[in-house]
Amino acid sequence: MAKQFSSVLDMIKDSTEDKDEVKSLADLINSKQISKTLFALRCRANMSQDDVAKKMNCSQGKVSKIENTRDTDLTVHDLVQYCSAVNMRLEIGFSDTRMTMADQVKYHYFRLRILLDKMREMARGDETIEKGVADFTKEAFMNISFGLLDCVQKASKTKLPVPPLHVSTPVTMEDINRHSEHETNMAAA
Amino acid sequence: MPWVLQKSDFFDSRFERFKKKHREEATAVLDNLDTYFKALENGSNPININAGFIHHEPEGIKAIDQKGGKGKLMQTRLYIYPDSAAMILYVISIGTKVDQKGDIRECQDYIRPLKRKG
Repeated sequence: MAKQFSSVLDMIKDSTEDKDEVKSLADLINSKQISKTLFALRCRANMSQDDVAKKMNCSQGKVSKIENTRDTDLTVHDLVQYCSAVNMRLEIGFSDTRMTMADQVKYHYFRLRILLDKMREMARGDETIEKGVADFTKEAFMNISFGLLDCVQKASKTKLPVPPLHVSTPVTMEDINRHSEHETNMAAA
Repeated sequence: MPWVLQKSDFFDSRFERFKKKHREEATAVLDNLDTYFKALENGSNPININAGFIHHEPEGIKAIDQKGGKGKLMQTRLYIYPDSAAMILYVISIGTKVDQKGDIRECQDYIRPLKRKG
């Protein structure tokens, strides 16, 4: 079977022994993590550069430029406008560089509790919504428990280096629904 | 299942020959390939991946060019074929615009058996 690669960089490492060439490509790719993500968001939304330009109230050329700009040259204003045009919200996160992965898991656990508490508070006084929130909380408990059980079984001691910039995969409602369906199927199995 | 890249059996030799004369172009076109591949990884349908650096060729073949690279670069074409069913992005060949007719024919010969298999 032919070799397969999970990234362009891995593919080129296999094609050449020239380390300088690989490094210059890696530097270029890493310098455009955000603009590449914006491009992916637009394509996923099935929008043309013209569509985005109309929503941003700018020229198609400006959209094209944003999609090929190095991350250090992008402005927050452009990012907010672009995200809004493709129906996404820009979220900026700050995290302590000393934060370990374990700290991040704890952080998400606390965020989860806060969100569920907030949801319960908002539902208070409306029996139907209160019941919906209670059912959802039970469902979340089941899914998270099964997910964590799986993680316990696969637990490894791998320590990965922390890059100075992390561009997370965009989260859409379709992703949440897909994961939710997958978790339900796993639980049923 | 995530998307993966797979080179044709002649890609490495074409790439080696091309980059000897056009190193900057090779880097620019690979950066654009990375952008295209990331769009696939993020769930975009190949039909919806459109930008100035992507040219739609016959039989579903796409040609990625060097646009966005620094300086005055030679018109370049990197030929790919996204197989949505298998989630494989075939990276077939690379060449200058001058050679595109022959290169596209070669790409068509490469993907026809793949299409029959699929």
